[in-house]
Amino acid sequence: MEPQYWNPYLETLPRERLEQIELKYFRSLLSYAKENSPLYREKLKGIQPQDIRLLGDLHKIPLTEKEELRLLQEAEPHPYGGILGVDIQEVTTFRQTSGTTGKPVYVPETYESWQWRVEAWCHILYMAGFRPRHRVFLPFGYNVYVAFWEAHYAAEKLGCEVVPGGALDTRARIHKILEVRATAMMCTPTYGLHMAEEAMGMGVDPARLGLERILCAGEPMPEATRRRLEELFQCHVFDHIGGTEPCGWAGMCEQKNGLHIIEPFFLVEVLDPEDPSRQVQEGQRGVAVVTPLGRRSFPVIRFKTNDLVVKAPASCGCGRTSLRIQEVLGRCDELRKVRGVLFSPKSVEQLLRGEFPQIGEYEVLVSRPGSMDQISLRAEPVQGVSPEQARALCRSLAQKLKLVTNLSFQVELLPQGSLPRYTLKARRFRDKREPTS
Amino acid sequence: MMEQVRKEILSIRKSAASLMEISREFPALRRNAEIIMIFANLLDFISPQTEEENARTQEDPHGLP
Repeated sequence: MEPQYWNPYLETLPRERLEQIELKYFRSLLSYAKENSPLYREKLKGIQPQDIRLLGDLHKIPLTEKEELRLLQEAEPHPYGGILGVDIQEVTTFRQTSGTTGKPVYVPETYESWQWRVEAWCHILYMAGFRPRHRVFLPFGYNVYVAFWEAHYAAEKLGCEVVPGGALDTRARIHKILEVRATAMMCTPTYGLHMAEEAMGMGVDPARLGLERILCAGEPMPEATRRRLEELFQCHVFDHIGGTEPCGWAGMCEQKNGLHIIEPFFLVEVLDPEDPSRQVQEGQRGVAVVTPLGRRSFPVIRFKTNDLVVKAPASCGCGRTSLRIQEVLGRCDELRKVRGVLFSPKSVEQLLRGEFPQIGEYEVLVSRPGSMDQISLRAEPVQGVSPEQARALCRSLAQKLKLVTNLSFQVELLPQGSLPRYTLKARRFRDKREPTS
Repeated sequence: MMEQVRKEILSIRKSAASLMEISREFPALRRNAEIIMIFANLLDFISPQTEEENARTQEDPHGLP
Protein backbone atom coordinates (compact mmCIF):
# COMPACT_ATOMS: atom_id res chain seq x y z
CA MET A 1 0.00 0.00 0.00
CA GLU A 2 1.35 3.41 -0.88
CA PRO A 3 1.88 5.94 1.91
CA GLN A 4 -1.01 8.32 2.44
CA TYR A 5 1.17 11.34 3.10
CA TRP A 6 4.23 12.81 1.42
CA ASN A 7 5.73 13.62 4.83
CA PRO A 8 3.87 11.46 7.39
CA TYR A 9 5.80 13.04 10.25
CA LEU A 10 5.08 16.70 9.50
CA GLU A 11 1.59 16.23 8.13
CA THR A 12 0.22 14.53 11.23
CA LEU A 13 2.09 16.34 13.99
CA PRO A 14 -0.12 17.60 16.85
CA ARG A 15 -0.90 21.31 16.41
CA GLU A 16 1.04 22.30 19.49
CA ARG A 17 4.20 20.67 18.17
CA LEU A 18 3.77 22.15 14.71
CA GLU A 19 3.41 25.59 16.21
CA GLN A 20 6.56 25.13 18.28
CA ILE A 21 8.48 24.26 15.15
CA GLU A 22 7.04 27.21 13.25
CA LEU A 23 7.90 29.58 16.04
CA LYS A 24 11.46 28.29 16.08
CA TYR A 25 11.75 28.61 12.29
CA PHE A 26 10.21 32.07 12.40
CA ARG A 27 12.71 33.33 14.99
CA SER A 28 15.51 31.82 13.00
CA LEU A 29 14.29 33.61 9.87
CA LEU A 30 14.11 36.91 11.77
CA SER A 31 17.72 36.54 12.91
CA TYR A 32 18.83 35.71 9.41
CA ALA A 33 16.87 38.48 7.72
CA LYS A 34 18.05 41.14 10.19
CA GLU A 35 21.61 40.21 9.37
CA ASN A 36 21.43 39.56 5.65
CA SER A 37 18.52 41.43 4.06
CA PRO A 38 18.80 45.23 3.65
CA LEU A 39 14.99 45.37 3.65
CA TYR A 40 14.67 43.72 7.05
CA ARG A 41 17.79 45.25 8.54
CA GLU A 42 15.83 48.47 8.39
CA LYS A 43 12.34 47.12 8.92
CA LEU A 44 13.17 45.02 11.98
CA LYS A 45 15.20 47.65 13.83
CA GLY A 46 14.46 47.38 17.52
CA ILE A 47 12.85 43.95 17.19
CA GLN A 48 14.66 40.89 18.51
CA PRO A 49 13.77 37.26 17.72
CA GLN A 50 13.24 36.61 21.42
CA ASP A 51 10.47 39.24 21.38
CA ILE A 52 8.40 36.64 19.53
CA ARG A 53 7.63 34.21 22.31
CA LEU A 54 4.26 33.02 20.98
CA LEU A 55 2.50 33.04 17.63
CA GLY A 56 0.25 35.66 19.21
CA ASP A 57 3.27 38.00 19.21
CA LEU A 58 3.51 38.05 15.41
CA HIS A 59 1.64 41.34 15.22
CA LYS A 60 4.77 43.01 16.65
CA ILE A 61 6.42 42.46 13.27
CA PRO A 62 5.33 44.87 10.54
CA LEU A 63 3.64 43.46 7.44
CA THR A 64 5.54 43.41 4.15
CA GLU A 65 3.74 44.77 1.11
CA LYS A 66 4.50 44.27 -2.55
CA GLU A 67 5.07 47.98 -3.06
CA GLU A 68 7.99 47.94 -0.58
CA LEU A 69 9.64 45.17 -2.57
CA ARG A 70 9.25 47.17 -5.78
CA LEU A 71 10.81 50.28 -4.25
CA LEU A 72 13.75 48.43 -2.74
CA GLN A 73 14.55 46.74 -6.02
CA GLU A 74 15.68 50.08 -7.41
CA ALA A 75 18.87 49.73 -5.33
CA GLU A 76 21.95 47.67 -6.18
CA PRO A 77 22.70 44.86 -6.87
CA HIS A 78 20.61 44.92 -10.01
CA PRO A 79 17.89 43.65 -10.46
CA TYR A 80 17.04 42.55 -6.91
CA GLY A 81 18.32 45.49 -4.88
CA GLY A 82 17.57 45.45 -1.17
CA ILE A 83 15.39 42.37 -1.09
CA LEU A 84 18.27 39.99 -1.74
CA GLY A 85 19.17 37.86 1.25
CA VAL A 86 22.31 36.19 -0.11
CA ASP A 87 25.39 37.10 -2.13
CA ILE A 88 24.22 37.64 -5.71
CA GLN A 89 26.75 35.03 -6.87
CA GLU A 90 24.62 32.41 -5.15
CA VAL A 91 21.51 33.20 -7.21
CA THR A 92 20.82 30.49 -9.76
CA THR A 93 17.28 31.29 -10.95
CA PHE A 94 15.46 34.45 -11.92
CA ARG A 95 11.67 34.69 -11.74
CA GLN A 96 9.33 37.65 -11.71
CA THR A 97 5.75 38.46 -10.86
CA SER A 98 3.30 39.11 -13.67
CA GLY A 99 3.19 42.85 -13.05
CA THR A 100 -0.63 42.91 -13.15
CA THR A 101 -0.75 45.45 -10.33
CA GLY A 102 2.37 47.47 -11.18
CA LYS A 103 6.05 47.02 -11.87
CA PRO A 104 7.03 43.33 -11.64
CA VAL A 105 8.89 42.10 -8.57
CA TYR A 106 12.05 40.17 -9.45
CA VAL A 107 12.51 37.07 -7.36
CA PRO A 108 15.98 35.62 -6.78
CA GLU A 109 16.32 31.94 -5.98
CA THR A 110 19.42 30.03 -5.06
CA TYR A 111 19.73 26.34 -5.84
CA GLU A 112 18.81 25.73 -2.20
CA SER A 113 15.81 28.04 -2.02
CA TRP A 114 14.51 26.65 -5.29
CA GLN A 115 14.73 23.09 -3.97
CA TRP A 116 12.89 24.26 -0.88
CA ARG A 117 10.08 25.65 -3.02
CA VAL A 118 9.97 22.42 -5.01
CA GLU A 119 9.71 20.37 -1.82
CA ALA A 120 6.75 22.47 -0.69
CA TRP A 121 5.13 21.86 -4.07
CA CYS A 122 5.66 18.10 -3.68
CA HIS A 123 3.22 18.32 -0.76
CA ILE A 124 0.65 19.99 -3.03
CA LEU A 125 1.00 17.36 -5.74
CA TYR A 126 1.07 14.34 -3.44
CA MET A 127 -1.96 15.64 -1.57
CA ALA A 128 -3.78 15.88 -4.91
CA GLY A 129 -3.00 12.24 -5.60
CA PHE A 130 -0.13 12.67 -8.06
CA ARG A 131 2.08 9.58 -7.96
CA PRO A 132 5.04 8.18 -9.89
CA ARG A 133 2.64 6.24 -12.14
CA HIS A 134 1.28 9.46 -13.63
CA ARG A 135 2.35 10.94 -16.93
CA VAL A 136 1.79 14.65 -16.36
CA PHE A 137 1.06 17.00 -19.23
CA LEU A 138 1.87 20.69 -18.72
CA PRO A 139 0.16 22.71 -21.44
CA PHE A 140 2.28 25.85 -20.99
CA GLY A 141 5.45 27.40 -22.25
CA TYR A 142 7.11 28.46 -19.02
CA ASN A 143 9.17 31.62 -19.08
CA VAL A 144 10.18 34.41 -16.71
CA TYR A 145 7.12 33.83 -14.55
CA VAL A 146 7.16 31.21 -11.85
CA ALA A 147 3.99 29.55 -13.13
CA PHE A 148 4.40 25.84 -13.69
CA TRP A 149 8.17 25.74 -13.14
CA GLU A 150 7.70 24.53 -9.57
CA ALA A 151 4.98 22.18 -10.75
CA HIS A 152 7.35 20.68 -13.32
CA TYR A 153 10.25 20.21 -10.91
CA ALA A 154 8.00 18.88 -8.14
CA ALA A 155 6.31 16.36 -10.43
CA GLU A 156 9.74 15.13 -11.52
CA LYS A 157 10.86 14.91 -7.91
CA LEU A 158 7.79 12.87 -7.05
CA GLY A 159 8.77 10.48 -9.80
CA CYS A 160 6.08 11.37 -12.32
CA GLU A 161 6.90 11.51 -16.01
CA VAL A 162 6.53 15.13 -17.14
CA VAL A 163 5.49 16.04 -20.68
CA PRO A 164 6.16 19.76 -21.28
CA GLY A 165 3.50 20.95 -23.70
CA GLY A 166 4.67 24.50 -24.38
CA ALA A 167 5.00 25.97 -27.89
CA LEU A 168 2.00 23.99 -29.13
CA ASP A 169 -1.45 25.35 -29.81
CA THR A 170 -4.41 23.95 -27.88
CA ARG A 171 -5.41 21.49 -30.60
CA ALA A 172 -1.87 20.17 -30.85
CA ARG A 173 -1.82 19.78 -27.08
CA ILE A 174 -5.02 17.76 -27.17
CA HIS A 175 -3.49 15.52 -29.83
CA LYS A 176 -0.34 15.19 -27.72
CA ILE A 177 -2.32 14.21 -24.59
CA LEU A 178 -4.00 11.48 -26.62
CA GLU A 179 -0.77 10.46 -28.33
CA VAL A 180 1.31 10.01 -25.17
CA ARG A 181 -1.71 8.92 -23.08
CA ALA A 182 -1.14 11.51 -20.40
CA THR A 183 -2.93 10.70 -17.17
CA ALA A 184 -2.63 13.99 -15.31
CA MET A 185 -2.44 17.66 -16.15
CA MET A 186 -1.86 21.03 -14.51
CA CYS A 187 -3.42 24.19 -15.88
CA THR A 188 -5.31 27.32 -14.97
CA PRO A 189 -9.06 26.74 -14.55
CA THR A 190 -9.61 29.10 -17.45
CA TYR A 191 -7.37 27.08 -19.70
CA GLY A 192 -8.99 23.81 -18.60
CA LEU A 193 -12.39 25.14 -19.72
CA HIS A 194 -10.89 26.43 -22.94
CA MET A 195 -9.24 23.09 -23.65
CA ALA A 196 -12.55 21.29 -23.09
CA GLU A 197 -14.26 23.67 -25.51
CA GLU A 198 -11.55 23.14 -28.13
CA ALA A 199 -11.68 19.38 -27.69
CA MET A 200 -15.43 19.39 -28.24
CA GLY A 201 -14.89 21.53 -31.33
CA MET A 202 -12.54 18.83 -32.62
CA GLY A 203 -15.18 16.18 -31.95
CA VAL A 204 -13.24 14.84 -28.95
CA ASP A 205 -15.11 14.36 -25.70
CA PRO A 206 -12.80 15.82 -22.99
CA ALA A 207 -13.79 12.87 -20.80
CA ARG A 208 -12.09 10.58 -23.35
CA LEU A 209 -8.71 12.27 -23.03
CA GLY A 210 -7.86 9.77 -20.31
CA LEU A 211 -6.90 12.27 -17.64
CA GLU A 212 -7.28 11.01 -14.08
CA ARG A 213 -6.27 14.18 -12.26
CA ILE A 214 -5.99 17.88 -12.93
CA LEU A 215 -4.33 20.33 -10.59
CA CYS A 216 -5.34 23.93 -11.16
CA ALA A 217 -3.13 26.92 -10.56
CA GLY A 218 -2.88 30.60 -11.29
CA GLU A 219 -6.37 31.86 -10.51
CA PRO A 220 -8.91 31.58 -7.71
CA MET A 221 -11.23 28.72 -8.66
CA PRO A 222 -14.82 28.77 -7.40
CA GLU A 223 -16.14 25.37 -6.34
CA ALA A 224 -18.63 25.49 -9.22
CA THR A 225 -15.77 25.82 -11.72
CA ARG A 226 -13.91 22.91 -10.12
CA ARG A 227 -17.02 20.75 -10.40
CA ARG A 228 -17.59 21.86 -13.99
CA LEU A 229 -14.06 20.78 -14.87
CA GLU A 230 -14.63 17.45 -13.14
CA GLU A 231 -17.80 16.91 -15.17
CA LEU A 232 -16.16 17.87 -18.45
CA PHE A 233 -13.01 15.81 -18.01
CA GLN A 234 -14.61 13.11 -15.80
CA CYS A 235 -11.61 13.19 -13.50
CA HIS A 236 -10.52 14.55 -10.12
CA VAL A 237 -9.79 18.27 -10.11
CA PHE A 238 -7.82 19.95 -7.33
CA ASP A 239 -6.95 23.48 -6.42
CA HIS A 240 -4.02 25.10 -4.66
CA ILE A 241 -3.02 28.58 -3.48
CA GLY A 242 0.27 30.27 -4.16
CA GLY A 243 2.09 33.23 -5.55
CA THR A 244 5.48 34.21 -6.85
CA GLU A 245 6.73 35.91 -3.69
CA PRO A 246 5.41 33.48 -1.06
CA CYS A 247 5.52 30.25 -3.22
CA GLY A 248 2.69 27.67 -3.38
CA TRP A 249 1.50 27.59 0.22
CA ALA A 250 -1.70 25.50 0.39
CA GLY A 251 -3.07 22.47 -1.41
CA MET A 252 -6.26 20.44 -1.67
CA CYS A 253 -6.48 16.85 -0.42
CA GLU A 254 -8.72 14.02 -1.66
CA GLN A 255 -11.54 15.28 0.57
CA LYS A 256 -11.78 18.33 -1.73
CA ASN A 257 -13.04 20.45 1.10
CA GLY A 258 -10.82 23.48 1.52
CA LEU A 259 -7.06 23.71 1.30
CA HIS A 260 -4.32 22.60 3.69
CA ILE A 261 -1.57 25.06 4.52
CA ILE A 262 1.80 23.45 3.89
CA GLU A 263 3.16 23.55 7.42
CA PRO A 264 5.79 24.17 8.69
CA PHE A 265 7.03 25.51 5.36
CA PHE A 266 4.70 28.47 5.70
CA LEU A 267 3.37 30.42 8.60
CA VAL A 268 -0.01 31.75 7.49
CA GLU A 269 -2.14 34.29 9.27
CA VAL A 270 -5.62 35.32 8.16
CA LEU A 271 -6.04 38.92 9.23
CA ASP A 272 -9.09 41.07 9.60
CA PRO A 273 -9.14 43.40 6.56
CA GLU A 274 -10.38 46.23 8.77
CA ASP A 275 -8.02 45.60 11.68
CA PRO A 276 -4.81 43.84 10.57
CA SER A 277 -3.62 43.44 14.16
CA ARG A 278 -6.35 40.82 14.64
CA GLN A 279 -6.60 37.28 13.24
CA VAL A 280 -10.07 36.24 12.11
CA GLN A 281 -11.95 33.27 13.56
CA GLU A 282 -12.77 30.05 11.73
CA GLY A 283 -15.45 30.65 9.13
CA GLN A 284 -14.58 34.34 8.75
CA ARG A 285 -12.93 35.97 5.81
CA GLY A 286 -9.65 37.82 5.93
CA VAL A 287 -6.46 38.63 4.11
CA ALA A 288 -3.83 35.90 3.91
CA VAL A 289 -0.45 36.94 5.26
CA VAL A 290 2.28 34.42 4.51
CA THR A 291 5.82 33.88 5.78
CA PRO A 292 7.86 31.28 3.92
CA LEU A 293 9.93 29.85 6.75
CA GLY A 294 12.89 28.28 5.01
CA ARG A 295 13.90 30.56 2.17
CA ARG A 296 17.05 32.62 2.58
CA SER A 297 17.59 34.04 -0.92
CA PHE A 298 14.58 36.33 -0.67
CA PRO A 299 13.33 36.50 2.88
CA VAL A 300 9.77 37.74 3.07
CA ILE A 301 8.28 38.09 6.50
CA ARG A 302 4.54 38.51 6.98
CA PHE A 303 3.91 39.12 3.29
CA LYS A 304 0.48 40.55 2.62
CA THR A 305 -0.75 38.50 -0.31
CA ASN A 306 -3.96 40.46 -0.88
CA ASP A 307 -5.71 37.10 -1.28
CA LEU A 308 -9.06 37.26 0.44
CA VAL A 309 -9.69 33.86 2.02
CA VAL A 310 -12.02 32.13 4.45
CA LYS A 311 -10.38 30.44 7.43
CA ALA A 312 -11.45 26.81 7.99
CA PRO A 313 -11.21 24.49 11.00
CA ALA A 314 -7.94 22.52 11.12
CA SER A 315 -9.57 19.10 11.35
CA CYS A 316 -10.02 17.23 8.08
CA GLY A 317 -11.13 13.72 7.22
CA CYS A 318 -7.74 13.06 5.61
CA GLY A 319 -6.03 13.11 9.01
CA ARG A 320 -3.67 15.99 8.27
CA THR A 321 -3.33 18.38 11.18
CA SER A 322 -2.41 21.50 9.25
CA LEU A 323 -4.48 24.66 9.36
CA ARG A 324 -6.85 25.07 6.46
CA ILE A 325 -8.32 27.66 4.18
CA GLN A 326 -11.94 27.01 3.25
CA GLU A 327 -11.83 28.99 0.03
CA VAL A 328 -10.18 31.82 -1.80
CA LEU A 329 -12.70 34.57 -2.43
CA GLY A 330 -10.47 36.51 -4.79
CA ARG A 331 -8.03 39.36 -4.69
CA CYS A 332 -8.66 42.26 -2.34
CA ASP A 333 -7.74 44.57 -5.21
CA GLU A 334 -10.48 43.01 -7.35
CA LEU A 335 -13.22 43.92 -4.92
CA ARG A 336 -15.10 46.98 -6.13
CA LYS A 337 -17.80 49.23 -4.87
CA VAL A 338 -20.45 49.40 -7.57
CA ARG A 339 -23.35 51.71 -6.79
CA GLY A 340 -22.31 51.48 -3.16
CA VAL A 341 -22.42 47.66 -3.13
CA LEU A 342 -19.25 45.64 -2.51
CA PHE A 343 -18.85 43.45 -5.59
CA SER A 344 -16.55 40.45 -6.12
CA PRO A 345 -16.15 39.22 -9.72
CA LYS A 346 -15.79 35.71 -8.35
CA SER A 347 -19.47 35.65 -7.41
CA VAL A 348 -20.35 35.90 -11.12
CA GLU A 349 -18.07 33.01 -12.02
CA GLN A 350 -19.51 30.92 -9.20
CA LEU A 351 -23.02 31.53 -10.52
CA LEU A 352 -22.29 30.97 -14.21
CA ARG A 353 -20.23 27.81 -13.74
CA GLY A 354 -22.66 26.41 -11.21
CA GLU A 355 -26.04 27.21 -12.71
CA PHE A 356 -25.56 28.18 -16.34
CA PRO A 357 -23.65 25.40 -18.12
CA GLN A 358 -24.98 26.83 -21.40
CA ILE A 359 -22.67 29.85 -20.93
CA GLY A 360 -19.07 29.55 -22.11
CA GLU A 361 -16.80 32.58 -22.13
CA TYR A 362 -17.96 35.82 -20.53
CA GLU A 363 -16.82 39.19 -19.25
CA VAL A 364 -18.04 41.66 -16.68
CA LEU A 365 -17.70 45.38 -17.32
CA VAL A 366 -18.20 48.21 -14.90
CA SER A 367 -18.48 51.69 -16.35
CA ARG A 368 -19.88 55.08 -15.49
CA PRO A 369 -21.44 56.53 -18.62
CA GLY A 370 -23.12 59.38 -16.71
CA SER A 371 -23.33 59.89 -12.99
CA MET A 372 -24.32 56.30 -12.21
CA ASP A 373 -22.24 53.13 -12.24
CA GLN A 374 -23.33 50.56 -14.76
CA ILE A 375 -22.47 46.87 -14.60
CA SER A 376 -22.90 44.52 -17.52
CA LEU A 377 -22.36 40.89 -18.37
CA ARG A 378 -21.41 39.96 -21.92
CA ALA A 379 -21.61 36.22 -22.40
CA GLU A 380 -21.29 33.62 -25.12
CA PRO A 381 -23.67 30.64 -25.12
CA VAL A 382 -21.78 27.42 -25.88
CA GLN A 383 -24.25 26.59 -28.64
CA GLY A 384 -26.37 28.77 -30.88
CA VAL A 385 -29.68 29.90 -29.34
CA SER A 386 -32.86 31.17 -30.97
CA PRO A 387 -33.86 34.83 -30.36
CA GLU A 388 -36.58 33.62 -28.01
CA GLN A 389 -34.19 31.40 -26.05
CA ALA A 390 -31.70 34.28 -25.90
CA ARG A 391 -34.30 36.61 -24.38
CA ALA A 392 -35.25 34.00 -21.78
CA LEU A 393 -31.61 33.32 -20.94
CA CYS A 394 -30.88 37.05 -20.54
CA ARG A 395 -33.85 37.43 -18.22
CA SER A 396 -32.83 34.45 -16.13
CA LEU A 397 -29.19 35.63 -15.92
CA ALA A 398 -30.21 39.13 -14.86
CA GLN A 399 -32.53 37.75 -12.15
CA LYS A 400 -29.96 35.39 -10.70
CA LEU A 401 -27.20 38.00 -10.85
CA LYS A 402 -29.41 40.41 -8.95
CA LEU A 403 -30.01 37.76 -6.28
CA VAL A 404 -26.34 36.89 -5.93
CA THR A 405 -24.75 40.34 -6.16
CA ASN A 406 -27.58 42.70 -5.28
CA LEU A 407 -26.78 44.59 -8.48
CA SER A 408 -28.85 45.02 -11.64
CA PHE A 409 -26.81 43.78 -14.58
CA GLN A 410 -27.29 44.59 -18.22
CA VAL A 411 -26.95 41.22 -19.92
CA GLU A 412 -25.90 40.81 -23.52
CA LEU A 413 -25.41 37.53 -25.36
CA LEU A 414 -22.70 37.43 -28.02
CA PRO A 415 -22.00 35.00 -30.85
CA GLN A 416 -19.49 32.24 -30.11
CA GLY A 417 -15.87 33.33 -30.50
CA SER A 418 -16.56 37.05 -29.89
CA LEU A 419 -14.70 37.27 -26.60
CA PRO A 420 -10.99 36.74 -26.06
CA ARG A 421 -9.76 33.31 -24.94
CA TYR A 422 -7.13 33.11 -22.23
CA THR A 423 -4.38 30.57 -21.87
CA LEU A 424 -3.03 31.61 -18.48
CA LYS A 425 -4.84 34.04 -16.21
CA ALA A 426 -8.21 35.23 -17.43
CA ARG A 427 -9.11 38.90 -17.37
CA ARG A 428 -12.85 38.65 -17.38
CA PHE A 429 -13.43 41.67 -15.22
CA ARG A 430 -12.81 45.24 -16.36
CA ASP A 431 -13.52 48.37 -14.41
CA LYS A 432 -13.65 51.10 -17.02
CA ARG A 433 -14.12 53.75 -14.34
CA GLU A 434 -10.40 53.49 -13.58
CA PRO A 435 -7.84 54.97 -15.94
CA THR A 436 -5.58 51.89 -15.58
CA SER A 437 -8.19 49.26 -16.38
CA MET B 1 12.52 6.89 14.14
CA MET B 2 13.08 10.65 13.74
CA GLU B 3 16.06 10.57 16.07
CA GLN B 4 17.68 7.95 13.84
CA VAL B 5 16.80 10.06 10.77
CA ARG B 6 18.53 13.06 12.25
CA LYS B 7 21.64 11.02 13.06
CA GLU B 8 21.82 9.94 9.43
CA ILE B 9 21.39 13.54 8.26
CA LEU B 10 24.25 14.61 10.50
CA SER B 11 26.42 11.94 9.00
CA ILE B 12 25.52 13.12 5.45
CA ARG B 13 26.41 16.66 6.49
CA LYS B 14 29.78 15.60 7.77
CA SER B 15 30.56 13.69 4.57
CA ALA B 16 29.41 16.56 2.36
CA ALA B 17 31.49 19.07 4.32
CA SER B 18 34.52 16.85 4.11
CA LEU B 19 34.04 16.36 0.34
CA MET B 20 33.71 20.12 -0.13
CA GLU B 21 36.92 20.65 1.78
CA ILE B 22 39.02 18.18 -0.18
CA SER B 23 37.62 19.14 -3.61
CA ARG B 24 38.40 22.86 -3.71
CA GLU B 25 40.31 22.51 -6.98
CA PHE B 26 37.82 20.06 -8.51
CA PRO B 27 34.66 21.97 -9.54
CA ALA B 28 32.56 18.92 -10.42
CA LEU B 29 33.21 17.20 -7.11
CA ARG B 30 32.86 20.41 -5.16
CA ARG B 31 29.55 21.45 -6.69
CA ASN B 32 28.05 18.01 -6.28
CA ALA B 33 29.18 17.99 -2.66
CA GLU B 34 27.58 21.41 -2.20
CA ILE B 35 24.37 20.04 -3.65
CA ILE B 36 24.49 17.13 -1.22
CA MET B 37 24.82 19.72 1.56
CA ILE B 38 21.84 21.63 0.16
CA PHE B 39 19.73 18.49 0.32
CA ALA B 40 21.03 17.78 3.83
CA ASN B 41 19.74 21.21 4.83
CA LEU B 42 16.40 20.39 3.25
CA LEU B 43 16.31 17.04 5.06
CA ASP B 44 16.95 18.95 8.26
CA PHE B 45 14.08 21.30 7.54
CA ILE B 46 11.58 18.53 6.86
CA SER B 47 12.51 16.45 9.89
CA PRO B 48 12.66 18.98 12.69
CA GLN B 49 14.09 18.02 16.04
CA THR B 50 12.18 15.75 18.34
CA GLU B 51 11.11 17.17 21.67
CA GLU B 52 13.99 15.49 23.50
CA GLU B 53 16.51 16.89 21.04
CA ASN B 54 14.85 20.25 21.30
CA ALA B 55 15.25 20.18 25.06
CA ARG B 56 18.94 19.42 24.66
CA THR B 57 19.48 22.51 22.50
CA GLN B 58 17.52 24.95 24.61
CA GLU B 59 20.59 27.14 25.05
CA ASP B 60 20.25 28.27 21.42
CA PRO B 61 16.52 28.35 20.69
CA HIS B 62 16.96 30.64 17.68
CA GLY B 63 19.58 28.55 15.92
CA LEU B 64 19.11 28.01 12.20
CA PRO B 65 16.99 24.95 11.41
